[in-house]
Amino acid sequence: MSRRIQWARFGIRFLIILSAIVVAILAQYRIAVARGEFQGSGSLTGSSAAHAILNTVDAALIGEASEEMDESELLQRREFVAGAASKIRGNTWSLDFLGTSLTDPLAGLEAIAASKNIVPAILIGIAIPICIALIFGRVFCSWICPAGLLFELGDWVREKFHPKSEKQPRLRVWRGSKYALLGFGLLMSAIVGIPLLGAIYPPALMMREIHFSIGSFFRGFWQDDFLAGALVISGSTLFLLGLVLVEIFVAPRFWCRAVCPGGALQSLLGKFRLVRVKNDFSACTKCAACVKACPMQLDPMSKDLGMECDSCMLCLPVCEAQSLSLSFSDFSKEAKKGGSS
Amino acid sequence: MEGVSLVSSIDRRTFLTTLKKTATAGAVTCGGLGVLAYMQRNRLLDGATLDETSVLRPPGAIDEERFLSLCMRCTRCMDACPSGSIQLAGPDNRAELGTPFVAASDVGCTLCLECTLTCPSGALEAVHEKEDVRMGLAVVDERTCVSHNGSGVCGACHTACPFRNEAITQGMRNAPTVHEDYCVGCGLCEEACILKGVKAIRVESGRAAV
Repeated sequence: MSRRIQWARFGIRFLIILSAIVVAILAQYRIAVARGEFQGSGSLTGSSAAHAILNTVDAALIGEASEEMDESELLQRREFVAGAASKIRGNTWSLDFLGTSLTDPLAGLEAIAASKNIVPAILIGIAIPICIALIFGRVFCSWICPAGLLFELGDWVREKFHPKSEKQPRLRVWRGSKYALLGFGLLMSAIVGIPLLGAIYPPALMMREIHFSIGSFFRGFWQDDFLAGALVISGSTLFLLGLVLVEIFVAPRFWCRAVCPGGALQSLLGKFRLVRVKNDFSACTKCAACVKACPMQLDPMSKDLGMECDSCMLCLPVCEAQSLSLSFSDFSKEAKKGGSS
Repeated sequence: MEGVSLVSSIDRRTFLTTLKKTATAGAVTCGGLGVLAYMQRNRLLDGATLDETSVLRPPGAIDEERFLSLCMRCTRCMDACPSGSIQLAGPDNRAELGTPFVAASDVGCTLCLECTLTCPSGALEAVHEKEDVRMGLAVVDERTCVSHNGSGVCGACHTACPFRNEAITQGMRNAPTVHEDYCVGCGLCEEACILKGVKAIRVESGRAAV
């Protein structure tokens, strides 16, 4: 069961990264259809990678039917497919999924701080993500954040190349700095009038880079200017690469624990969350396996997990006494305890 | 009383190292963000993003300063654009990184207005009628336009204009004249202009939003 949860966590984030690539390529397919690049049943003639990608997309979406249909029918079908493909817009930073607006709370808060007025559209967008954070806590970090997947791949690389070293190199960091960065960033955004935290927030950077690279690659193709389409190694890409190196060589989840402003906001929202990992202290054998397994370097054994836990559930399978479990806490009972947790 | 118990429970060395760590982490994060903010501020005050040489924003864009504060750089408008005219500003463009713009000399805006409906933050306000869009204003360079300078008869911009005979009218040798009251600034004329490189009819941005 818990193994399946880890696979689901991996799969969802992998699909999110894949969908960013697919959305960007489908946007280019749509441009090709709008420009009338596809004539009749034929495919694009040309040998560049862009030709090959667009032909593959066309073959996959239109299929074998292209042989039998006449030209106008085919065009109609291509336009229908292109229109349907455009129903998913954006990425984890802000997503328009079949007309439903989902916005990262950090993006919304930042825009509100920078513009200094409250826009109803933003509030509608951040409503669902905030509700999820209020109930489940910091689950964005462990289930959705594509940069988090990058960091977990960093875990895998570390184990591969340093098999003898300790599985989780432990570096104590001051977790408060991310809350300071969140506050300071929002303050600076308000002063400057430009949202700033989005420029260093890894998931937003990563998705934008994917979009931008694919877009610029194809733009060079459309403009017959292949120099413009050369892969852009921008500052943001180097920044992400640096973060992965820190992850591998310095400490696991260094960014998530100490710096990430988005994680800080999710943590704050999830402070009184209803669903959380809990230790049944009467059954616990104090083997500390869960403490070793926790990538966020929390202590599920001796303390109740606070707002920092992102519910990745890596501690559940290692618990041999099975005293750790995901529980739905009764909010009224919690309140009676007087916030002792 | 609580303060006393706090001090006594932490020994001096732990307290000092924690203080040092805290100060370092705080200084690094705040300093880095400060530099970022300073750079952004300079770019904004530089005027590069505010004067009329700046890029053309998608339809429905509010005035530039508020646009920069509300735009989340989320790529939704770019994904919604069916003709590929909305692009993201990269390091080589004159706009803020990641903000959308219409490169009219490449592909003009077809005024489908999908982008105004998908914008999550109101940086692009919903516009319902094509005539109400005011992205910019087309300006004819009479020295390079072949119909104006007498080197030929063209009329490509007039043909491409979605508000033909209103926004662009033709004079002698199909020489175009732009009418401010009707021009929405979509840039289809700029796309259609037969000149390579710098076009003879260009859309200049910086027009007030609807």
